[in-house]
Amino acid sequence: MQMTVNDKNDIKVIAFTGNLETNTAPDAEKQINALIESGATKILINFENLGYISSAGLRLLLMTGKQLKSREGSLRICSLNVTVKEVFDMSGFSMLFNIFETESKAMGGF
Amino acid sequence: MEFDTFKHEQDVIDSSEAFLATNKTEDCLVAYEKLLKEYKKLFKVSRRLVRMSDHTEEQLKVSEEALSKVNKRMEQELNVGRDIQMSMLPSVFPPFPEHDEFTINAQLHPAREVGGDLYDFFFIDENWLCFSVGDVSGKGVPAALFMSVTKAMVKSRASDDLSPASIMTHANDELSTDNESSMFITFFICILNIKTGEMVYTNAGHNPPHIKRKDGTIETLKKLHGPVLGVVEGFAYQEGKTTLYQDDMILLYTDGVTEAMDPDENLFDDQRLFNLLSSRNYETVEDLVDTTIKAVEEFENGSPQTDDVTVLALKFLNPLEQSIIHSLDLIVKNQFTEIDRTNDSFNVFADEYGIPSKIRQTMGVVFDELLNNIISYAYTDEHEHEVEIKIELSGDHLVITIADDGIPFNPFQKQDPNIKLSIEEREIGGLGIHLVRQLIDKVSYQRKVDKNVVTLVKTISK
Repeated sequence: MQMTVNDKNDIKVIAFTGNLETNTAPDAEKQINALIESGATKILINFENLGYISSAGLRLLLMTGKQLKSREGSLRICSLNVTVKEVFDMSGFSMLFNIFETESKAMGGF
Repeated sequence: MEFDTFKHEQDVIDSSEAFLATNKTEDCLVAYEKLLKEYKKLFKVSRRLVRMSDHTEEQLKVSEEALSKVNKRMEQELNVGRDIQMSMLPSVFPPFPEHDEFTINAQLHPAREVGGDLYDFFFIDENWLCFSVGDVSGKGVPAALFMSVTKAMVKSRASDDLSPASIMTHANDELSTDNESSMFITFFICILNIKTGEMVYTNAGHNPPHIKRKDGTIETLKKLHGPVLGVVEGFAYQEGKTTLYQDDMILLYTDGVTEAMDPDENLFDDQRLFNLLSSRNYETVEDLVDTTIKAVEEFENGSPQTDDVTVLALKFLNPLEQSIIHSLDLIVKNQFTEIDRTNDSFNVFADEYGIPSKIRQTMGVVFDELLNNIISYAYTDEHEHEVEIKIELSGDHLVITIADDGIPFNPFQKQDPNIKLSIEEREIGGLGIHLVRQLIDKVSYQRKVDKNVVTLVKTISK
């Protein structure tokens, strides 16, 4: 799994390549925590190149969402593939997060 | 000596025989206890009569009469034991004329003094046939009753359990508990898929059966999977696997065959049986069973048969199924990095058989959740453990079994989490299993012997 961070205005755009699961989530969590610690409040996670996400990855999103909310920031997620979308729907996460079809749509009004 | 004193005994014997005729195990045990008591009494009386016999000629005559009466009763009792034994066994041949996938035949020749051999076969469901032979230690009514109890126990357990190891483990536990008479039984049990020829078997201290392949080679199923039943309570039996192909035969037997004696007290032995099996081609199961029984009789050449002789043969007739099953067996350790290895192996398998990427992603989630659960929670020690994963692809079905030797735990028993809570209220516990249940078409859990076995069925729409 690879995680890249790009700054677009005041938004941190995080892109994942690979899968978010038991073995990759802890590392991603560390990196995201570091971003939040350093003051990031707007985070967009782009899942375009994500294969699948398991509950370990969902846990990471939940933590990130909770943390940003407590700092009056916000989290957006975009570009879910079918499998990821399915997992989001099954877990109720579709209703929990602001989800967008594409990165450009997600950037609008952020 | 007043022979009216036997009136009570006769009543007990009569009523006991009536009980035995019902064939209910508990009733039989009660009846047997009574019989044994009377048996002992009659022995005492007869011994006394023998001692008295040197007194007068008249007394001698009386004694002889008494003895012959006692003998007659003993013989009656032995007949009862034999009747119990024989009435428990399937006796109509061919037993499944509507099936052309296999043929089966068996014979049990009881020794003069009744023993405790048994054979049995029955369908567990439309695809799986269970067949077995066993040999109870000891002889007489007790052995016959022990045998009938075992037979009933195995059959009842097999009705919802396709694992011979698990069936043996449960039967052994039941038989070992309060086994005051210290009887035991050797047992060989097979469960055969009559469509595919796949066979799983467990040998509990029994003689090793032989498989005669179509090309004439003989394979002996030598491995023992545990001790005789009824002795070591709590023992976890294992099982072996093999496949029968078209025209293969399997021969099960008891030690009455290999330990039959000729007048010079030579044993029939394993080698003679092996030679008999390889000496020529046996077209039918009847031929093989008859020939074996006859060979033992000829070998004995008039010496009295000291033990039951049991022979069971099955011939598999079904041609290999066209819908080939592809399978992958994996053994992974209880380490998180092994989840990646599982996915890598699955992806290679998926590539080979054209399993679409959507399914690979789904299985990625499923392996992550289930293996994470096992690695995190199944083990209370710090040791390395092995988790067995089997992946089978047949037609459009993917069947995955995951077996771990951790503490008994059914992951699917947990309630689904409330997925409608807000972000602050949401907790992550239980979500993984919830996902598995949603992503997979059919999930099931079984505790088998000392393992948690999870079975998943996923239909592939290409």
